[in-house]
Amino acid sequence: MLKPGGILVDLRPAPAHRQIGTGAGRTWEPVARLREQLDDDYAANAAVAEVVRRGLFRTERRKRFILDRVMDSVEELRDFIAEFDQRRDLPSQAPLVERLERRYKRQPKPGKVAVRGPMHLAVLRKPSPSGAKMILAILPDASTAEQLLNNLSEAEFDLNDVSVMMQDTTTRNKIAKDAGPLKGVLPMQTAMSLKATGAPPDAVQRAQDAIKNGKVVVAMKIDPKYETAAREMFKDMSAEVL
Amino acid sequence: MPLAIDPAGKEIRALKDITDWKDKRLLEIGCGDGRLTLRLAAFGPGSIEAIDPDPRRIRLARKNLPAAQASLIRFRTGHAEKLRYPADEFDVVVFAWSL
Repeated sequence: MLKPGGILVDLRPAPAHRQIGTGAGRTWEPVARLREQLDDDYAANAAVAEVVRRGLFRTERRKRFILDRVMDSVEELRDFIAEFDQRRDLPSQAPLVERLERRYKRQPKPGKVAVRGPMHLAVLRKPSPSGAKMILAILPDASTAEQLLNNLSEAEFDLNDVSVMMQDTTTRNKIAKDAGPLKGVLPMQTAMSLKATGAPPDAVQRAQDAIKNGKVVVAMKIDPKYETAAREMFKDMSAEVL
Repeated sequence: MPLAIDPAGKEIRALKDITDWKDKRLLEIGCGDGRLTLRLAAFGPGSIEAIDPDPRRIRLARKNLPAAQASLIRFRTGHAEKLRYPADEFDVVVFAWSL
């Protein structure tokens, strides 16, 4: 179903008890914290950890953000809460809603109410076919990297498979496009992204150090049939192949 | 007004930033009434197949589908546990509040 190298986006509430409050957006003020059953959320975390542990996916990116569910009245909030009040074996949330209602009624004019909670968002990448490999190398400077790209292009390698990482992104953008296994990655994110590709930790560390020291890191996705030829071209340019 | 989920748009901004959606063939699992599907369509994917186990919500999603996006998005009733798609069919699979 999912192509090799494709991604799975995991979007769901993070395992945390949400808060209810008056107002919305910047005017939102918390009143109480809901008492929720979080077993399903923890089970989802465990399931994702298991597929990563088994090598079926690699975690590539992860972030959290706050999400609001905004309602026009306390009654709407009651209806919303009633859904999981009924289906969960937990103490009733009614006292919390009553506390919010008291606060709500003290407002000079009717406003909104909102449920606020953290969301979990992650990108998991399905590994490329077992045959697909990556060449990771350090080059001394941008002009050498540019020459290498020219050589690869003349040899009919696809430069869409090549990432060039260096501190000076302006120069990088002059000699190479944002492509290859590290497409969209900023220099400071190189180590994290290389780890996600399965690169060995020592190679990741050396690549990161090289960028910090003003050198250029080139990562190239390569069909094993042409790997030897490509590696020779890297070595011809005095690349340190990791 | 009914419940408004994420009126500030934080969810969609986070999704936009997290990967490149352009021209990708996308499967959304747990699309519900298509709230998120229509937002994902704005990222320029090649196509979106959106499924949900609840046929009532799929009917609602189809009803809400703008004509301009009818060729881009296909809503279907389906279960995550019983997916029937060929191998290597999708570039991106989104579990939308459903894992």
